[in-house]
Amino acid sequence: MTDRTDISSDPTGEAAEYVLGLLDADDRRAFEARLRSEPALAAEVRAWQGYFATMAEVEVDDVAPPASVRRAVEAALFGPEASAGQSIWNRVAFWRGLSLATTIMAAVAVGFAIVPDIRPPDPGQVPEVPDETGIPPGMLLMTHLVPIDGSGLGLAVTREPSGVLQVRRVAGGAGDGRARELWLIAGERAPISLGLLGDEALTTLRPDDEVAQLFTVGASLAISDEPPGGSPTGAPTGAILALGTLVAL
Amino acid sequence: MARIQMRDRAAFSALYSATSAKLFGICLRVLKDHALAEDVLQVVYVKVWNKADRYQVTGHSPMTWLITIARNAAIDRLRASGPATVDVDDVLTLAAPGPTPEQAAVAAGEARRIVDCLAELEADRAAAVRGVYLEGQSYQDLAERYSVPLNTMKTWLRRSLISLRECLSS
Repeated sequence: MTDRTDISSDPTGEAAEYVLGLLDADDRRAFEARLRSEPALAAEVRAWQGYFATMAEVEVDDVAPPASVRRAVEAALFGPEASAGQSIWNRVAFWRGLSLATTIMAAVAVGFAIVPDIRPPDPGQVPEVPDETGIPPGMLLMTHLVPIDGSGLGLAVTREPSGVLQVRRVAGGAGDGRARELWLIAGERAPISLGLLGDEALTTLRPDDEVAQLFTVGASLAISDEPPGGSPTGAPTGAILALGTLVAL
Repeated sequence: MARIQMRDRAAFSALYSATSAKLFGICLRVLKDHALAEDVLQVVYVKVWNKADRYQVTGHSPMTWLITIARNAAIDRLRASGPATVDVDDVLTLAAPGPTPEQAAVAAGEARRIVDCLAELEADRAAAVRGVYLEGQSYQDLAERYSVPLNTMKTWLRRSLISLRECLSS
């Protein structure tokens, strides 16, 4: 250990004080001005936010809030004034919110895989968490499509490095005379049809190269209910049955 | 129209169900008052939903982002003197691009080391760090609690933070 005396200017210590809210108003403004031009300092802030938030996540017990809070938030977010006549498929806020929700589910799953204290890794099922920071292009991507509005339809989708999609039905039945169409929602683009699901439990789809390039972490997949033969318009026309966001394996 | 709202709510509902108990626990720990914590939790989710498109720029795992927003909102309410903390994305958007989601996932795993590293600090120093993050204590509060002069307290906590960081990056 060095016996450096001037620890007040240590960037690590100051970043931690900033994140903890210990700096007075003048010091905080000066620190924020530096953040804009010093990426290393911003990285230090980001690291401390992650460490302290994780401490809280691990050490603070869950307490279920009363149902009145959920109702109040929903009223604030989806109250009468929020009912614009747009289709859900055009509502960017919805996809962003969905992406966040499903990313959290994926993060929880990864957390379980990493922390042996919570659940011992099962080598047969738990995916390896990449220990290199770089993920090679053409990586394996996957998502679980969660059922919406009680459709009961659950799917696991794997995008192989070759671009081939394996869509496995894990819950819900086929049939009823309607078609189930798989869509990719990437960025701000309109949904892109990837094809119809077959009656079998496993459907293999091969998107063309241009579409394959849009498969990235964070892109969403959705299944819609369509007339036999698929959407007549090239855009989804029916209810969303299941949704998920791609994560890297 | 009603169907559209139903689906918007489905996404919100999934997010809320997965995270609200943890965030409420944190608000309660900071504020120690049910009514205040409920009020802050409501503000937090409206903020989260409206800013959902910005969380990725922070490079954080989703839980880190949510907890940071909840903790800061609770601390601001505790101090009740206007916003003292800055929104996590407002600061980090201005800085360098964050890590990729994969890197953030790996970092989230590494972040769990903080529990072990806190255990390596002397107990009162670890308690001081928790007191500041989870109870919003100031240097003045800590100096009174440990009966030491203010400057001694500052030096003491900074050293603890630097030791903690050394442990975390070793």
